[in-house]
Order: sequence, then C-alpha cells, then structure tokens
Amino acid sequence: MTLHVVTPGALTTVQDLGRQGFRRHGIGPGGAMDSLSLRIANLLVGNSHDAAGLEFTFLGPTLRFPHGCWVAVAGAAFELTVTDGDGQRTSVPVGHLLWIPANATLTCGAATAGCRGYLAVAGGIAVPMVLGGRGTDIRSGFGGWHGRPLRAGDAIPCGRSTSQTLAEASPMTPPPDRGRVKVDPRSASRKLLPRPTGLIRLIPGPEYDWLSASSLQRLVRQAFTVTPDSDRMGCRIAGPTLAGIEERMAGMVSQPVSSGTVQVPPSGQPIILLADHPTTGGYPRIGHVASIDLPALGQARPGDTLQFQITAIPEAHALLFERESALERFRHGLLRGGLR
Amino acid sequence: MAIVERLTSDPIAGVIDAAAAFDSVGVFFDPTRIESDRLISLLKHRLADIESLPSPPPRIVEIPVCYGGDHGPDLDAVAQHAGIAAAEVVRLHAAAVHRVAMVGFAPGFPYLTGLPEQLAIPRRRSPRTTVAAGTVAIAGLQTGIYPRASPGGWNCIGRTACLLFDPFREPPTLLQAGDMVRMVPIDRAAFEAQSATGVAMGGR
Repeated sequence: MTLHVVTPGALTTVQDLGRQGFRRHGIGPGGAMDSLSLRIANLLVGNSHDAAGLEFTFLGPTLRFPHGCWVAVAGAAFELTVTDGDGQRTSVPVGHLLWIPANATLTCGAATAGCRGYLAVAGGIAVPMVLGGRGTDIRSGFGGWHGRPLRAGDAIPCGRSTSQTLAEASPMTPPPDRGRVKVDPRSASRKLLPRPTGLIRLIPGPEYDWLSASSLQRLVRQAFTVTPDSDRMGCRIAGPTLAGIEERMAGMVSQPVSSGTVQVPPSGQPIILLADHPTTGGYPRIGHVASIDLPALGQARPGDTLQFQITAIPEAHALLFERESALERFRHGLLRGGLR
Repeated sequence: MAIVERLTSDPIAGVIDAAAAFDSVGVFFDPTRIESDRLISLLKHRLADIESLPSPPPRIVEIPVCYGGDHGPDLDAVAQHAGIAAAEVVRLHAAAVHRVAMVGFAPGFPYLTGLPEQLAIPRRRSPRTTVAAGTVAIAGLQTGIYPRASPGGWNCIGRTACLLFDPFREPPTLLQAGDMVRMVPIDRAAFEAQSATGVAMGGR
C-alpha cells in the first residue's frame, strides 16, 4: 500500500520515536518533536506507539490514498478535509480515528494553534529502518524517505511495516460502508494532551550556578518568547539577558547534551536543544527541560511565551510516570473498545 | 571511554545510550525503567572496577590527505600564522600522531588532539558558509574532519576522499573515540583517483 503526496506542505518528514545508541558516532536521536502526539495517533490506529508516521509543520500536506485505510491525525489544530473520489468534501477532526475511502484525498490545511501535526496510518509508514530508526535526519540526509522532506509526487509505502511489532489488537478491518469517510468515536482524551500554559519545568544543569544571582532570579521570574529562528534542532528564546557565564566559558570543552538541554551562548539568550540537536555542545548547560514538557516545546510557535519553573528530578520523573500510566490506560481503553 | 565500552558489552537495563566527550561521559536512561539514584550507584561501582582494568591497544588509522590548493584554502594563512613554510605545516601535521578524543557535533565528525603546538591557531574570524565534505581543518590545538558539506569556522588545510560517515556501514563512522590517526599526504591526482573510485578507506 502507498500514500501519494499531492502537495507536501511546508516541511513534512517521516518520523518515529528516534534512534538511540549512536551518540558515540555523533548521531543524535532525531524523531518526532512532539512524541506524545505521534504516540497517540499510532495508538488510535492500532499501531505500536513507536511506529513511523508523518510529521508536518505549520502547513500540512495533501495526500491521496489509492486504497481505503484507517488513519489518525494528532498534535496541533489543523483543519482537515477529506475529498472523496466524487469530489465531495467532508471536514474531519484532529485526534479521532478516521476511515479514508479508496481514492480520497486528505488535506491537512494550516495549523491554527501549535505547529506540528502527526499522521499515523494503520500498519505504519513502511520505510526501511536505518541505524535503529525510521525517522528522517534532514541535515545528514539519511533515514525516512530518502533522507529528505516529502515532495509532490512521492509515493510512500505504508500499511505493512514488516519488522514493526503492532499492538496486540487484531488487524483493523474496514468499516461496513468502506466507500464513505467515517469519523470513529474513538479519540484522544483531552487529559492526555499537554495543557498549553507555557510552563516549562527545568532541572538545574551542570553549569547552572555559573549564572549570576540576579540572572538566576530573572530566569524564573520573567517570561521568554520563542523566536522565529527556532527549528527541529532547537527552540531559541528571547527574554531577560542571562549573564555571568562569559569569564568561565573560556576553558570549557564540548560536553554531552540532550533533547531539552538549555544552553546559554555568550549572547545571553538561551537555546533549548530539541530532536535534531548535535550530540555535543560547547555552551554552558544551565538546565534540562523535564521530559514531560518536551512535547509542548515541539508545538511552540514563534511569539509563544515560556515561563521556567525549577523542578527536582524526582518530581519530574513522577510527572512522567503519571503520563505514561495515562497513556497505558488510553491504550487499554482502545483495546476494550474493540479496535477492529 | 572504557565505561561507554562496558555499557555496550554489559548493558544496564534502562540505559538507552552512552557517549564520551573530552572529559565527561553522557549516560542516557529511561526513568520509567530505572531510578536515577539506582543508576548512579551502579555507575559508581562500574567506574571503580574499570580503573583497575588495562585499556586495549588503540587502533591506528591512516587517512590520505591532499594538502593545500583549493582543497586546503587556509594552508598559507596557517603557515603565515606559524611563521613557517606551507610545506613545513604539512610535514608537521602528517608527522604527528593524532588521537580521536571524541566523535560529536555531527555524525562522524572526529575531534582529534595531538596538533603540534607550533600549528595552534584560533578559529577563522568569519566562518565559511560551505566547507566541502572530507575537509581537514584545524582550530586551537585540534584537528577536525568535516563528514559532509557544512558551514565551518575552522582553518581548512586539506581534504580526504575517505567517507567519514555512511549510515549503511557497520560501524557507521570511519573513526571511533580512542583511535590513533596518521595523515598520509597525497597529491591532487591521487585524491581525484580516490574520490572517483571510493577506495580511500583509512587502512588499519
């Protein structure tokens, strides 16, 4: 089975939950910027949560499905329209299990809140596994679909991702009226989604106390604004200048960094490293964003405001456990609801 | 580096990755599978063990490099900075034994220590917008090799036809942390031949 790219949108790539185990070779994790939304979309269509899907940014793609299939879109608020073979248009919601009939197109429109959408197809996007992942590394040009963003005319294999463990659910069978669009009641519970408060929990990093006392106060008392030069590599933010690092930076050698590491370059304006970050960095690491808040950063738009709150590791981990249990309950609910 | 090796050969459940930088190691774990306090105590035990183990002899990798010309546009500036002839820069660089301190920044990018002090030089004042794949460049007391065309601020002194990163090769990078590296000067014709045939693999 394939899905055909009619228009690619602004930046659409194949992504999964990233590759692990290759940092010693300089290869970072990559993967979905808002991993929670990709996982929700996968669970809705009966996939294993880590199957590959499409990530699109600000302006979504238009895709044609030669064969009928189950899909789900999760993440930012995109306006979704299905146009069937007869040209009849149906508006469909984000966060629901959807049946797309054969020869219909799905138009993902523009995001009105958040910035990244995730499309999961029952069976996953079946591109080959490269270095333990199916995600696209755009800068190094490997993984995903030929190592690049999708273009008009691409025919992406999907539906039978052989080496992928699918959920225990029996394969999804088409609805009784397979010629018509169906919006299934099964949907992502609001409770699962990050609340768009702009609150970012920060665990102090190795160079946290390099900041001056007044900068440490400014870090948590004042808000920062997401700037337009943010991308998959990092979220750049502007706000009160953080000072005190200059003298100590001279002797600093490159150090390991991670998704969520907050670096402060000499300009004093922080960079929060995200999915496509380099494996090492030479700027002071004043903190790490708690994993629970990384999906929200993946949805941050230029102009959004962020407010840091210092958090201890046990608290951050407790929040993560809570979310993982909620996801597990969601998955069980879908199975009980009879994913077929 | 030994701890990274140990974590690969004898993994701790819940640890998803580990990588060495110059003077530190990053250990990445899934907090839903292992508690951070428990992981820290396990790592402390392993570090104590490792200090008593002899380290294996390093691998020696030879990298053919075409120095100067348009493959090394900063060679003359480096020579001028050091107050020696360009040929002497090449001789010193190729005579040195470089050590891969870490692979980082980009897939396959090696940070090599062992640059002769005479050749020490700051980064270029303005970075180049494109540095060709395979470019051998120096900054501070280090040599780096760009695995792919990218912007770069280091001083470009030569270029190799070796493929530093190939996602379909095992391992995917030519150089690993701990490797010893010797540069072998080659002329332009040899470089062209090697890049055409793709047989510039660093010999062992």
